[in-house]
Amino acid sequence: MKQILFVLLIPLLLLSCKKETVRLSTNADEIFWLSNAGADMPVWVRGNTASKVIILFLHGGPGDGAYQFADFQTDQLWKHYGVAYWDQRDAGASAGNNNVANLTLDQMIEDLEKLVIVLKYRYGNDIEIFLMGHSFGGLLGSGYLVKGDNQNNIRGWIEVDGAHDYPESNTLERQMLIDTGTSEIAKGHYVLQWTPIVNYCSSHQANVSLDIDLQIDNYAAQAENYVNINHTNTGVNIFSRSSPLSLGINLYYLYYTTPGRQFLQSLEPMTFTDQLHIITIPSLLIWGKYDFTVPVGSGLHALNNLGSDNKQLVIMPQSGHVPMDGNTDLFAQTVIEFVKSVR
Amino acid sequence: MVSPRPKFLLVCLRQICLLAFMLLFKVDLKAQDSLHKITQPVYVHSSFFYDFPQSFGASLGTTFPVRSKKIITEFKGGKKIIRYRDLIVSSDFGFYRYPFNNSGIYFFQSIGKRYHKEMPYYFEWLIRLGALRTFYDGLVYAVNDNGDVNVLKDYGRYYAVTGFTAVFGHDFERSKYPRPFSIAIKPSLWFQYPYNSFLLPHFSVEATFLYHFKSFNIGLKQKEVVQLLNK
Repeated sequence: MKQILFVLLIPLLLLSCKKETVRLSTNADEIFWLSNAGADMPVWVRGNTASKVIILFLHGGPGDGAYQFADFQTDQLWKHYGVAYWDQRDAGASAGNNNVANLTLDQMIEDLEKLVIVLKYRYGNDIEIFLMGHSFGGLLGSGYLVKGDNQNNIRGWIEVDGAHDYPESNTLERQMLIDTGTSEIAKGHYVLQWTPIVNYCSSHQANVSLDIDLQIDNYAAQAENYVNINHTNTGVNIFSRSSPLSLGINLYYLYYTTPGRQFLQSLEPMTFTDQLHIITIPSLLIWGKYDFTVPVGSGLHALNNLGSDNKQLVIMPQSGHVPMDGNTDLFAQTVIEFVKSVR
Repeated sequence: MVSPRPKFLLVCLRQICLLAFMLLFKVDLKAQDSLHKITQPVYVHSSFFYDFPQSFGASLGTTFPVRSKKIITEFKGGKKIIRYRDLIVSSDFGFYRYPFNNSGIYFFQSIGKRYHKEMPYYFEWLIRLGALRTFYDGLVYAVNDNGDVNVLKDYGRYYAVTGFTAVFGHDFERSKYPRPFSIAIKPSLWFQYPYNSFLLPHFSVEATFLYHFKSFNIGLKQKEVVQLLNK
């Protein structure tokens, strides 16, 4: 009996021995968690944290999860800087119990505020944090930066095909699908594929219902296959550190259950365009030329509205909504040069 | 009001057809039940555990029958088939580790049925219910309203777990050269609840070694059913 008890206690002993000392490294590969308002959110940190620069990646979706971008898409940054991949609440590998009441954009902005505090606590107050918001992460990042004095904690803002203005993105998305589709049909390119897209977009207005906007989003993702862009089409790594089961369940919850859809619905009117002038930190906008989901027009509009003196928009010529996939080298080079120029 | 007569006629007609069908095949079945007191082994088992996609772990537990049924089917020519249907309960205490994600300790209480004949192979199905405590990999931080950071020690969450397991086993105690152990493979589908206000499915497989200590037995009543099949 004693032996059995001993064997049962082994895992408990192993768990209690877990102790981590945080050290800055040129090749960090570590995880920590932020627990806030019912959600436990993992942050995977890769690369050169010894550089004292951390690029905090805000994934899109919502619900995409950040881990899938911790691969060839952003690994060129690791040599120069640390990159923190944060799974937002109810996304990726994030966990928790009954926390649906806290699934709001305001709560996510609060999560981000606390994460920035934790990053400084963990890696030192002298680290420089750059926010990189992709797609929905653009909305989240903009919401964070225009709130209070949050931008004082951030050295630079990198918006990648960011949806800082949902209604504008939806309108431009629909129009770009109609214009490009009509032009491609006239050229005889992918006529069968473009025809239903053009027909649907022509007969449905954007910003009328969530279902219509989600359908237009689906068509926007499909349309990237019918234009000449680089697309690696890498699927989700099923043996990744972020379990495809939790990723899939979190996505399912967001897109196919009433509470999840209520959250998506609450995002539909969200816009920070009229507050972008508040953001005065150096800003880099990176946009895929063939992004149908959040078209370049949205980036141009942000460029005009940002309050920063140091701001630029860089178009990725062979990219759609994910320029780190379409123009991986150019993307990395652009980000590295921007961070260098700001430091 | 509808007359009951057509329904009555329909029932009679159905019964006549059924009887005619049985007579056609000339099958007689006579059954006789009896109760015996028997002794059955209590197995202590240990398992290696793989949970898709990256978790590995181990568990310890016991399995024993609480009710047994022996079904003897005797054919006209003297041929006899013996089958067993045992109601079994099983308890498991284990842990897993999912690197860069979380570790967990769990307890499962299971109930199910074991099906076997005189051969060493057996099949079981189990319905499981239990509890899971997770521990996150890496440090867990919380920030209070004043902006103070706290490191939460051994932080994780409690979940209820439930699921279904199939067991494919080989009992060496019933083999030609009896040995006091069995081996089994157990694929499982189980759910962790409430996970982000929903549930998280798990697909796992256990490779199990079951050992029967000589003095570790349980007494129970076995119902014996003899079926005489005149075929």
